[in-house]
Amino acid sequence: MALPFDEDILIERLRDHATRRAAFSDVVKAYSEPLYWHIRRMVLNHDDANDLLQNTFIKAWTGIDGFLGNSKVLTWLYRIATNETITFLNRNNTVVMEEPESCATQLEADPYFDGDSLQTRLQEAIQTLPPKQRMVFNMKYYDDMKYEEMSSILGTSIGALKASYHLAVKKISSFFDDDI
Amino acid sequence: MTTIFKPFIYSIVIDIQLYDQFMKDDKELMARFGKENPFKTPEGYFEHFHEQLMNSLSEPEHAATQPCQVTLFTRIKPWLYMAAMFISTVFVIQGLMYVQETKLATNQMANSEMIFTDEADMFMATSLYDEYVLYSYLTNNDNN
Repeated sequence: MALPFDEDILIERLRDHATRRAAFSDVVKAYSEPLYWHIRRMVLNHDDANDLLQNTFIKAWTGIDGFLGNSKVLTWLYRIATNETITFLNRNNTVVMEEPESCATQLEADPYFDGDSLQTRLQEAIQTLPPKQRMVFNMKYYDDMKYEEMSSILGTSIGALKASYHLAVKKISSFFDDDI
Repeated sequence: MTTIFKPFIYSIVIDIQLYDQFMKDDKELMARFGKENPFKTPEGYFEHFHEQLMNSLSEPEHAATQPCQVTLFTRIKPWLYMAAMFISTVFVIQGLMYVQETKLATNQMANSEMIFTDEADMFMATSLYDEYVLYSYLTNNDNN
């Protein structure tokens, strides 16, 4: 993933109280889109994704002093967004896994989903995966993210991530075996 | 020799087969569904989001960077605790020493009495005299 900033300069600007706000504004402008899609693919609904994206940036802003620059700014934001999303999904305890049809109903009623029936079926299949595996699948399949980067965001070993992705692909493929 | 490596060769063959199967599944999935994003956002969402978010952010509190007021008592508190500890240790040691001395004095007194009675016993035990001799010995002593 190409970074629009020099990472060291950005971190310096975020640390300095005089330039912090302007630097954070640049961060929001540059990174809100990838973070939004990361969240949206998990929660499906635009309003929930919007709320979670706002929470992610607010948490990042309030906890900016705790960010020591050990990782890239985007990786740090991805980590916050991932935690926010997983917490949201656990709290709502969605019954999508047991009832994939409810996912299709939700998507069809969503004015911000314009996929055809095939895409709806794919989303249904993805929703049958456990949240973390779903996240791994989305990050690899749609964002084509490197395993190293995924590992630093999710805190899981590269080997486990590869296995998780392979298993996810297999599960999704077997979901469509029933159609044949 | 080949029997030793057989399990490894089998596991490699299985790994290759699994990898081939996975690549097949992955390619099939890509071919069937592609990577297009079926989700969309409201018109101008990201520009609007940036503006709205930046307006809602207040200045973060820098509690850690602001110097907090340190009173004189807070500053000398550890030294006070240490001094109190030393004083109490001295008292305890002195108390223990006093008890020890009292015990020693009592023991000495008891021992001196013991010496007196022991003297008579020793006389009886070590001498060949009988009780009459002891009686006359004690009477002579009293007379002297």
